[in-house]
Amino acid sequence: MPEGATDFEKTNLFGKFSFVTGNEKWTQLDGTFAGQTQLSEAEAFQPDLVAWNHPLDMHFATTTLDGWPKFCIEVWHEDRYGRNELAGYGVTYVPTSPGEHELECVIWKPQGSLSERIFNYFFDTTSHLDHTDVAYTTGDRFDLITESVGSVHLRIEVLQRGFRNRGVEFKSPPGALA
Amino acid sequence: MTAAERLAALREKKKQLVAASSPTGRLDGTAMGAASSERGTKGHGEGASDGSDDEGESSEESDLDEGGNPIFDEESKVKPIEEGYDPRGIVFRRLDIARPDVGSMIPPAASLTRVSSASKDDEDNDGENNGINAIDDDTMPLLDDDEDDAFAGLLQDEGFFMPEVPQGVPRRNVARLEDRLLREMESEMLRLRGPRHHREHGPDQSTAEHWFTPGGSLNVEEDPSNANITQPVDADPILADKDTLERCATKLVPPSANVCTSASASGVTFAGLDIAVHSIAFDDHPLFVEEDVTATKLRGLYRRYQQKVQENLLEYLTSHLGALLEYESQLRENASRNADALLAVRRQILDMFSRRLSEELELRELTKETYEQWLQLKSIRQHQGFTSTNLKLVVMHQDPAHTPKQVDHLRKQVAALVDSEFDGKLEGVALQKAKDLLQRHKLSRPEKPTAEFRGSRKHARKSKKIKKKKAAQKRRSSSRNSDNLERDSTDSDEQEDSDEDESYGDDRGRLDSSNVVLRLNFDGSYDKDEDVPAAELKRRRAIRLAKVHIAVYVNDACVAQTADASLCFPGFLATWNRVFCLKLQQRPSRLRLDVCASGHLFAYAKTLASVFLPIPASQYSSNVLAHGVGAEDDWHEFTARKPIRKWLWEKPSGVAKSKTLRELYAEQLHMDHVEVGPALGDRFTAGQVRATITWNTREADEDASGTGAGARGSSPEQDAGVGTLVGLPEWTQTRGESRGRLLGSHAGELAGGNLAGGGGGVSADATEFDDAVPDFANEVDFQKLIAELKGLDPNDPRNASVLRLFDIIKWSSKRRVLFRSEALLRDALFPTANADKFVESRRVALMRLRKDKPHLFHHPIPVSEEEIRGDETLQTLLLPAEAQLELDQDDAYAASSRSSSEVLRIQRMQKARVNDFLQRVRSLQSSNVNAQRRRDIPVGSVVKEGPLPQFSVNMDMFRALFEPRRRLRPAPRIRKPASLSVEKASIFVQVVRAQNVPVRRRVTNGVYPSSPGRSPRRSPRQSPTRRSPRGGDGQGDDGTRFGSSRMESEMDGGDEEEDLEGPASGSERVMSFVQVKFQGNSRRSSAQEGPSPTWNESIFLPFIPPRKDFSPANLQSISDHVHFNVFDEVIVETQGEDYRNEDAMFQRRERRFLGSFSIPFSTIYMNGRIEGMFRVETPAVNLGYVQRSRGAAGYRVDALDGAEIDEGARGPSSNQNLGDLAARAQDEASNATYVYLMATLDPVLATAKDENSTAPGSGENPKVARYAKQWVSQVKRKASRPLEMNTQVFGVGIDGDAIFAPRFIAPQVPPAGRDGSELQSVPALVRFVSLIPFLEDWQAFVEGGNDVWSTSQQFLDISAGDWEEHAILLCNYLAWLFSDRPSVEPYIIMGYGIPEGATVYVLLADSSSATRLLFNASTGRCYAVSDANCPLRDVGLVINERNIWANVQEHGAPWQIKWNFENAKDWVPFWTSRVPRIEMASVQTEVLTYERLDRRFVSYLEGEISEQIQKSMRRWRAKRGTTRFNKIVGRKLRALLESLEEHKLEGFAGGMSALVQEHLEGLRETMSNNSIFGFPLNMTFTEMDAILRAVRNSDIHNTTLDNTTFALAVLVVPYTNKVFSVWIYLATIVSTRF
Repeated sequence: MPEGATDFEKTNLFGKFSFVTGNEKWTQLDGTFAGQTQLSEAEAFQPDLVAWNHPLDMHFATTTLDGWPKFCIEVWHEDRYGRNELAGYGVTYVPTSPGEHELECVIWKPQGSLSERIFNYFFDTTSHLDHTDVAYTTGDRFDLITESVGSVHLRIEVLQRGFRNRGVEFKSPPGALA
Repeated sequence: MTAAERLAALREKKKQLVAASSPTGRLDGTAMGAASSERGTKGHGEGASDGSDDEGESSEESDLDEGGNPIFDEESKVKPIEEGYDPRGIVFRRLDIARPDVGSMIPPAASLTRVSSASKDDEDNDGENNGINAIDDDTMPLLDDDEDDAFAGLLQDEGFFMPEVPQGVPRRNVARLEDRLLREMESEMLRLRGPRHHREHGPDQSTAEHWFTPGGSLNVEEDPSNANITQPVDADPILADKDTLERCATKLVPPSANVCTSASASGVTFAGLDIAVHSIAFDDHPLFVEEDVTATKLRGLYRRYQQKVQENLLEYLTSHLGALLEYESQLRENASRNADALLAVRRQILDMFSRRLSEELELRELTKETYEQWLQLKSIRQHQGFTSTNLKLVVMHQDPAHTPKQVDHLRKQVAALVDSEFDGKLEGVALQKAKDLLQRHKLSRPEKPTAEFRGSRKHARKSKKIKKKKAAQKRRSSSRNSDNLERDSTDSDEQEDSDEDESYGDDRGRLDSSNVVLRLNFDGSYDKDEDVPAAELKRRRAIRLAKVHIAVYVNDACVAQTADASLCFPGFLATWNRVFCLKLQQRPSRLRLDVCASGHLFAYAKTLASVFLPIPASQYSSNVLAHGVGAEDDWHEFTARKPIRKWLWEKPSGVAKSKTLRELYAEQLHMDHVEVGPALGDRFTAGQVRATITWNTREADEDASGTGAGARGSSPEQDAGVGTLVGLPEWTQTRGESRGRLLGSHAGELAGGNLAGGGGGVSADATEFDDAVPDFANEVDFQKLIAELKGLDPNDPRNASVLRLFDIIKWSSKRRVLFRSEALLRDALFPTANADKFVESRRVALMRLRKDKPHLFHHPIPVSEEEIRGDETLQTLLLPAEAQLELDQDDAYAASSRSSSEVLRIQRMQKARVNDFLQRVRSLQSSNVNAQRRRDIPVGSVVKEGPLPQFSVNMDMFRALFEPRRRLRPAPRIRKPASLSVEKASIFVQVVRAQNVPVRRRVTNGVYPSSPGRSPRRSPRQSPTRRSPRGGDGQGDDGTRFGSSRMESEMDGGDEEEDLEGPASGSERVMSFVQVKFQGNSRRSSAQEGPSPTWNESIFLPFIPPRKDFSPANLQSISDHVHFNVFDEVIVETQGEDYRNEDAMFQRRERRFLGSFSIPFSTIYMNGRIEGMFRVETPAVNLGYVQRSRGAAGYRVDALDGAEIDEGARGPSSNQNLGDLAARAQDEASNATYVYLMATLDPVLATAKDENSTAPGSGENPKVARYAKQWVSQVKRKASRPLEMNTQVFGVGIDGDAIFAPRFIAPQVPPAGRDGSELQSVPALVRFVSLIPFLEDWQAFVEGGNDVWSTSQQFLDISAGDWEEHAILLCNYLAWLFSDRPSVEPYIIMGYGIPEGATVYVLLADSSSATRLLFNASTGRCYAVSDANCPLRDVGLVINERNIWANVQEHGAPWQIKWNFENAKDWVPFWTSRVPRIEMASVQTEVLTYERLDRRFVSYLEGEISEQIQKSMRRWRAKRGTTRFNKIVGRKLRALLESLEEHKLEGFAGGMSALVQEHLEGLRETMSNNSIFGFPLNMTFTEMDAILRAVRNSDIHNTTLDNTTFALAVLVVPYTNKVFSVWIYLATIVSTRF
């Protein structure tokens, strides 16, 4: 459940999220694997929190531990002219250990070339990634220059079935909520 | 002068300067002046002083100008020097005074990171006037150990020395500092020695070492007081030992080059890539003249020659041959034992001999060629009168390694071998070959002439004579030229010159290569500038002015750049000798040098050409950088992309006005042709860059020093060349030799060697390798290959490098441990019993099922497997999907029967094809449809907001108040679409009236009325006399018998006669009603009398959407149809078995099928309400009923007079006549039955907003797409009626691309009919197209109106499509059919029709007769445009192959609009005269491929259908007793069916009445005793289900009479592509006989 975003300069935010698995051995069984939250404005009394509280429910089935699902989010904001502009990208792994987790997914945006930066400065826009895969695949990300723009808070409850039968045991980290 | 003295002098000078009260240390003016003037010619000095001028630094201009040189230490004013800190000052902190060997220290790159040193032309190409080199050994002992402190202070004063490294020093400042240092030293020296002195002395490094590194950059030393000890990032590179190379500062490659940016602090190891750019040499240049071009050619030839000589293959082959001969003689001693071996060896000898021969010839040829080129060069020089290249070819005699005698001896041996021993053992051809070979060999050595070869000598002599003459000529001309350049200029080379001439003379114009060695020298003198003509002088200046630099690109990002270097004149060379150390984290994908010509306008550098460099191979081809040891040192050739432009030569020469350089040149050199050199237009700037690329990681360094030592040693002359031959071109390096000394480049070596060998055609083993050589994808492959290279001849000089490689690989292949992540991946997989397929758990399967079919689940899925297993319902759900599918399919009809497998197979095939197609389209669309849908949820449907209070005054109320009230015409209440919260809905149908319902015809008593029109209904008592149907009287005899059942209602006594004179006569009987069926529910209206009944009844049918989901998306996907069946209600009076009670009357109501039609639910839903006349599909023949004409003038009751109609039938040929077709269509239409009704939903359901979904033109020619958008909006503007859905200019192809609609239209050949010839008539084509199944559930996935247009071939392959596919196919057929009649044009019409909504029709227009016909291609109906009952209600676009016209008239209905497309007011064309048509290829294939028709299957299918129908009817009638089928009548019916298809194909050319007549005739016999009701049904075969449904819809089984028998006939007519026309004749027979 994406609870909300903090530390953003901009306030009118919504997120486009998706769950990405590493290989085809993961099956998306049921639920919402991609979607969009509502557009939310920061509250007056807590101006740095943009609350979404967007509940999600999904089931995965897998035959491998490789390619564990990742939560990917694009945070967008709507400016006062009604334009929707990208605020940043963020990726975090879904925790492997069962239980409830509170995660913070740091959002970053690509910086772009100088001309893009000038453009972005004047038009208050953000450079996009040509291929959003870059954001969540390992590897070819090192030539990106990014700056962080804020973070998205997630509360994820992980339930697992059948792993023990396969000889995999997950331990809850000490920090995890019971 | 000793060091002490010098120091004293220096100190003296400094003191003077300080005393001069200038706060800034300044140099002595005179010395400075001298220095600057001295250095005026130096490129570097110029650059520096230029920089100072440009800078105009602040207010100290006077200081700068005075010396003419920048003063560096003006900042000392800002901050007192005593504090030892200068923020901007000088680059180096402290001179290492204590250590005199400082020069050997390499500056740590880290501290130099910010400093890009100026390039220093240490090896200035002129080889003189070089500052550093000029410093004399003992002139500048600047420093002494004991006085260092004092001197340091002095230097600090002077600004020479900084205690701290300042950050961010501009490059210019560094340059100035260096400049000043140099000047200082130089002026000192000049002062002491005089300017001439240093010229004689070579450069001395030791004095300059204090200031400069060997590379020429400033010496910088680590701060010893630095607390943090920083490790130098990169180690000494391989090339560091080349002391002439200038080491450039280490460069961090910018991020854009895909190389890591974050500094080494993060612990990332970088690999250093050293790119040393040495020099450039031009092979062609705009300033080349003929001499240069020739010289270049000569160099090229010489290079090849040298390569050959160095390979020394000849010697190798000779000795090899000798060895073989020796071996052979050994073997010969025991010839009997070693016969086989001997033969093999002899063959080898022959082979070796031929190889040696060809090698020798080749070498000789090359020598000759080279020499001739040299001669040509000389002649050019002579011709132009001066020399401007420094090439000189020296011919030297040399004792050949093998004297002719030796060689001759070998030859003799071989000859003896051939003559004596081979006889009988060698095949004839081979022998002949060997003999030829020997002969050739003899010929090739003419100096030993033998008697038998005199003849050939003659020829040689002749050629000699010619050459001699030529030589004499040359000599004469050269002597005529008083200044024989060659002689004059080459004093020192006279010896060799004479040698050359001698050899020339000796051989009499023929160069004997066997004892001559060529050497190309680059030290040949050329005419100095003073001696050449003005034009040449100008050219030389231009050459010297030309500057080039090289930019280094890594992954297409510029990372470094050399300084400008000017070309040196003879040779067109420029030298940099710079090393760029790049730090890379990943292996770069591309490495490129750009040769840029600088010095253009505004310092704009023009890129001449790009040189792509090989990246030294690392051990593995992965992206991870391995520390390879490869180094690549080579001349890399390049060629400019653009040809040389002529303007250089066309520039005004300046010498003589109004003459271009070219003209001047031509004039002064007495050249008769204006063109200088080869034509410029064909030439490209070309040349070679020498660059060394090497990895320089620490390990690599060690590796290289260990292993590469020998390799590098192998070319000592190269190293020497770099070191000593300063200013000399390094052409002597041959490509093959300099290449491939280390690992990475050996691949090329081997491949190159093989190619060369293969080209020579002599190297057998080389060709063997050729087959085995894979492409050198990466080094691992190469190593594998190397390992396989067994049997390599270690003596062959060409294999030397490969052998050397063996050692390296042996050494390097030992210590690599790899980490592969694939193994980890495998571990992460769960072990399963079945490795291939993972058996998913039940829960997973259920969840998957739930995702697809959520309506099946009502409870949560249990977690544990046991619970699931315990649950019955879940278990049933878990049945395998395939089994489920089978059940679904069989369910409909196969429950009671075993269905024949063949039919099933066909059905499944068809279904699979359609499903596959649907799946493809769906997956194509799902993405964008999803995206659209997400966006289009209105806020109101999600957020419930209270309505805002409105304060406007509602004027409607007042208006309503004053409106006239009409009680009888109440204003309709406006119905608002219901929102999301719909609980239930119903379909509301108002059946208003009908037109022209068939009326009963009396057939009961056997006799068919001869003139049925006059007495269509006879009383049951009519006599069964057989009268000719053509009999005119129409009087039937009275029947004498009563049937056990009578159609009581039809019995209207005798008054029925003559009652049909006019159509208006109201006495016909029919009690028709309409049955409405939807989703299994059916309702009916009451029965009304007469052919034009008026019902005015409202019928409600419950409507339940699947899953009770009233959302628009769901509703849209409903593909159900509302079926309307029109029946005649017949009251049958049964005279029951109870004869006793005669008063009792039994009546039954029976229904007789008259016709049916259906409206898709989606049409009603999308439109909210539809209303209109609907044409009822009536059977072609309905026994017992007759269609009445509606009394339009000129039309009569069909059956009035068969003879008359027969006259009208003009045979199939008339089918081409559109007028006939039109008349027939009109006829048919006016005779058809229509029902007027209104249908709507109650409540009205909200529809999804129909967005304009066709992304216009994505995938189409962008120009067309843009214009189309424009055009559509223009049309919409012009149109006087809403055109929303009719402006689709593009069809979305099956691949998702938008395709311009006219591209679908092209003439296509129709398939063959049953008789084998093509379907030739319009009705036949219409018939065929209409038989192709219509895709019923198309609606299901046409979400958002995204229709898919398939091409005709796809359509035929799928055998299913909707309106546009049918229309396009028909249109294409018609286009083919009328291709020879230009007046007839088919079009397709995009329009709006009833009931389908947006639809596509075909228009066939004959401009000659102004006939226009409309075809509904999917139903096969034809309409004249004037027919007001045409279901096409709105014509939007008319499209043909060439153009599109949009109807912008006020009306859209075809009978209302004007059809003149030329009129731009009514029709807006897409392509106009202003916007001419853009030719676009048709998407249709020219020739459609058809499957042949499947006759075998026909009888099978017929039997199957017949069986199924019988079974089903029995089942349906199960409660009513037995169901019997009359086989005899059935056979008769089948015979009638045969002709029906023919009639269809001919478009009922004979008229309907004839048909009816025929049927009645055929059944006459039966009718005599029975009353027959029946009709043929026709449909295309899709599935059995549809057939049964149609039969059931006709309700014919629903008869209650006991003695009814049924007659059934099935005919299947096959067409191509598994299209079947199915005819089913159903009839009830009631015996009238007791």
